Amino acid sequence: MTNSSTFAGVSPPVRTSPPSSTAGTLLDAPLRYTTDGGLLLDAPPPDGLVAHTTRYGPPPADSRHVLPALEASGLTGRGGAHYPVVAKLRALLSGGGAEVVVANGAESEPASSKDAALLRQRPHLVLDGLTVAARLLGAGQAVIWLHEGAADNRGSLLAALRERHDARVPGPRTSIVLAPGRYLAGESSAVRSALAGGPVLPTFGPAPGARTALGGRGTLVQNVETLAWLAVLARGGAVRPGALVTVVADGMRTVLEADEGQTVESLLLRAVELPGRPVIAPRAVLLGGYAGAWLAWDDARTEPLCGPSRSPATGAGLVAALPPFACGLAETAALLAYLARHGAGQCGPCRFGLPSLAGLADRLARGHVRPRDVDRIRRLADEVRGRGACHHPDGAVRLLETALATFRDDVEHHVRRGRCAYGGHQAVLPIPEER
Amino acid sequence: MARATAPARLVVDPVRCEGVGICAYVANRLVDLDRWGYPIVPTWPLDPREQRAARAAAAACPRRALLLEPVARTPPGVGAGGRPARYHGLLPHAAPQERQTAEGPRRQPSGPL
Repeated sequence: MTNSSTFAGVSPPVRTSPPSSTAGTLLDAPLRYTTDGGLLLDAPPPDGLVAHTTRYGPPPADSRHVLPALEASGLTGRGGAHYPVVAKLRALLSGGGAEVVVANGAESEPASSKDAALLRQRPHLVLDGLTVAARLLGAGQAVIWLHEGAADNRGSLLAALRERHDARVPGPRTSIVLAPGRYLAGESSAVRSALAGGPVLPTFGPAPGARTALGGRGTLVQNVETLAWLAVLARGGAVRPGALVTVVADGMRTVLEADEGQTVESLLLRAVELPGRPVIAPRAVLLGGYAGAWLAWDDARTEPLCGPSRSPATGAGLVAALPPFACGLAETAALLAYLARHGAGQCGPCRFGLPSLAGLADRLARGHVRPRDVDRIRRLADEVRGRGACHHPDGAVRLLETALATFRDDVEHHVRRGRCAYGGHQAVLPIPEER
Repeated sequence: MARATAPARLVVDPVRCEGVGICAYVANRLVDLDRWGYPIVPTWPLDPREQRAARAAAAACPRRALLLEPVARTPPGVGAGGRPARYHGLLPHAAPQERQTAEGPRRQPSGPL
């Protein structure tokens, strides 16, 4: 029995609240998906307009008190830079507001389903947030930005929009735009570029929230989850925003809401908790996304996910556990190869540097390396970091460098013995099929 | 000339840059090329003499990928903003710390917004 509430060989975690009260503000129960294709296995019924109004109360009538509430909450965007939402809104307001507000639901992380889960369960909350942002910035148009493959999300949003139209819920003119299913199609400068008539590629230019070409006024791009929190805050509740995360562990993908200050260990336990099933402690966890950071299990256990530090975990909100039998270097090589293939191909250092790094990482994973190759990897990483228009190369380099640090002993073993101490080079984390 | 003394930084637009490499010939003390031929530029504010070289490099670039961006004057006491005593060629090898701190400010040259 004790196995179901603790990791084998690991002291029992400190539980702040019993499992029965894990209902969060955005999601009341975890959603489970298959690890590979992200097929939904088990979920509570989604909220229609009536259920939504019962749960959260009527839509906020005015947006004036939103800015102070936002500032007090410290809500940041989910693009990885932890950019304060209130700063973005104030910057746009000082430039005359925005022409368009964009709900970014193009979830590019292959193992992440948090945006899909939110759009399925709480479409009206996202639309409320979009309405609040549009009203605040004086925008007459709203766009929901989705990947072309997201048919389910498109369907639930269309149904929600129809419901709102029939019930005469006020809101901006909203359109759903389907972006190409590429990794960088959800990058915010790519979204702004596309909506201004340009290519769906990241651009080199002004900081987030700055004015762009569209109608002479700015474009607000926020993640769907950020807008959902905005809708909650606009209703006047004293809310401390948590974060939606996707936990990949134990052959499942689980979307749940992490509370402020929740540790990686308690989150993993909540995600895989099924009665009577033993849970094995992972070797390491990948935090943030495929361009995220590896952290050894002993360091990750007590790492808080949200809160003031907002450590590596929040980016795209992925927490992936590396099983004890898997090789972290093989995993890193597979992820890096994926990231190298999915660059925008615009900036030289990234276009040439990432494939070189991926090649070296692959040789390291197979044990075909000499000690000086590890230094070559480090030098090459230094030459790539910070030299792209977007932060794609920086993320890829971070993945590799944290792998070298976290799997230090494996690097040693691969270099000295020319082979892996673990199960060889079979990657565990899902990599989408190339089309 | 006021323009010559205002502190400025040399910035590469990596989307425009195609690694032609003329900048490294025109301003060979300022710009280095990496192994693929793309420019590596200093991250600190340039002095007037360096600015002249930077402007020449920017003018020579057929892709118009080099920009001289004004930066806020460093407050007194801060010094030259982390500038090393001497500049020894290739930046990432000589001073990796420099590159790391340059990530944020490069895209947002004038403060947090």
